[in-house]
Amino acid sequence: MPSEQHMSLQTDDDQRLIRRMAEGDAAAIGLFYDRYGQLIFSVALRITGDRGSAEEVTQDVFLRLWQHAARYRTERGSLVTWLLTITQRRAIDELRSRRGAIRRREVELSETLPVSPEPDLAALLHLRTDLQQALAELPSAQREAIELLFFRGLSRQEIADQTASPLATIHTRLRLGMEKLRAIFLQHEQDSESATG
Amino acid sequence: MEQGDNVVMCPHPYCDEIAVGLAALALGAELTPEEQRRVLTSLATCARCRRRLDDFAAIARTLPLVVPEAAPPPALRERIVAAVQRTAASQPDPPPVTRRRSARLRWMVSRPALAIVLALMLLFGVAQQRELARQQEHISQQQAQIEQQKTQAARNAVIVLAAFGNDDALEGLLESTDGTNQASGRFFISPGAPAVALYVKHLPIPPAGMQYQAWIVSDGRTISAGTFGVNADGRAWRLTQPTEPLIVVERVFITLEPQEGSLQPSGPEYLTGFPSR
Ligand SMILES: [Zn+2]
Repeated sequence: MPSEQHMSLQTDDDQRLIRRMAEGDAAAIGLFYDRYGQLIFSVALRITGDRGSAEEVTQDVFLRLWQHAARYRTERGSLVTWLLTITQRRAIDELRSRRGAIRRREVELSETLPVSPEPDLAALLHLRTDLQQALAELPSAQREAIELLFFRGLSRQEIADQTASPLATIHTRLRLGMEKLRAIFLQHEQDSESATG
Repeated sequence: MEQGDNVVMCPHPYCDEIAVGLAALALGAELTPEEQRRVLTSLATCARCRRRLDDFAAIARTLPLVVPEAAPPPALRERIVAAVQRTAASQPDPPPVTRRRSARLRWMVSRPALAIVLALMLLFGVAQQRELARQQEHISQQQAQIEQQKTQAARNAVIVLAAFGNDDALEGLLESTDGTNQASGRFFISPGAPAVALYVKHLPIPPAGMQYQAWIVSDGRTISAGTFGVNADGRAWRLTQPTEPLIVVERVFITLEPQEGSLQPSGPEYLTGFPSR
């Protein structure tokens, strides 16, 4: 995971590197890797659970970034969440295809539709700490339900089977867990708003 | 954060139940058809549900940040740079030419409407996005076609927003006209804009050379809302902007017509529905 100092590098630098990639400068991808490679790899490893697959996913994500660099919208906000979303989906696909699940999702993010503005990097780092803490404070069954869905790509029925719980119980756990995280998230948003005036 | 949304009362007695579907949707789970229907209905009518999806989606975007730190092998960097250099011969995509239009679209979009677009993208946009991605591989020959599809995607978003997001939007259920088929559906209409969003399921696959056509009875006249096919499950989404204003929407119905569509309904009627408000 990048250090605070590392991640608080100006987003200007990200945009500059993206522009260089768009112009076909392959060295820029290496510099970009220095900044986010460990983060992407960590997420891929957490989901796939093995280093070989995590490396493959990481490589895919960076190739995808390279291919999409020219279409990336500089005004769109944080690149980090874009990368994280691709990584999560790509890694879940890897897991599912390994499990023999039939459907393989194409990882493709909206290019013509607007997305909500993202918090900047410093706010993201702060949010990460808060989310980690909030997750740790969740009742373990709620945390487990969210993690099996998001980090393992299981269906809700599969979670019910695996945890020997009724489906309705899984639904309640997901809802309560997400509501708790949301409360933290909103508190966070409020704090950063009052901090910036 | 939007002030005021917090005090909007949810018109649904089952808002908490919908939250399950919203959480599942944001975290990447598949929804059942019944869940899809209820989620979209709530998003169209309930500010609290829209806020909730918006927040859940933002959490899902940042959730990967909480994973424990792990160091990649040092050789990975070189492998990635080398792989990129191999593809560098085939240049990356040309710069976007849709930028101006997209900026305008963003300006028109309100924050609550984003939740609906987000849900529609998650639920129904995957196939279209996949098609776009595949075609972009053959970018040189098909640039024009891609641009057209992008324009269509942007236009669809505008129609959805108009049909779902306006205060004067109408909605209603579509039911089997004579009770002999299993088909059903739902429509959203913005009379002022005018824009129509239509969702049907369990329609029989039309015979060769035939298509379904949607019709709106407005102020005593029958106006076409376009033709459409269905997928293998008999499902379809149809988004249109009728050229004539829809003064008073009296009824919506769907008939089977020749491939090229008809000026006035001529084939058998499958579905019918009335605005509920
Ligand atoms: Zn609601």
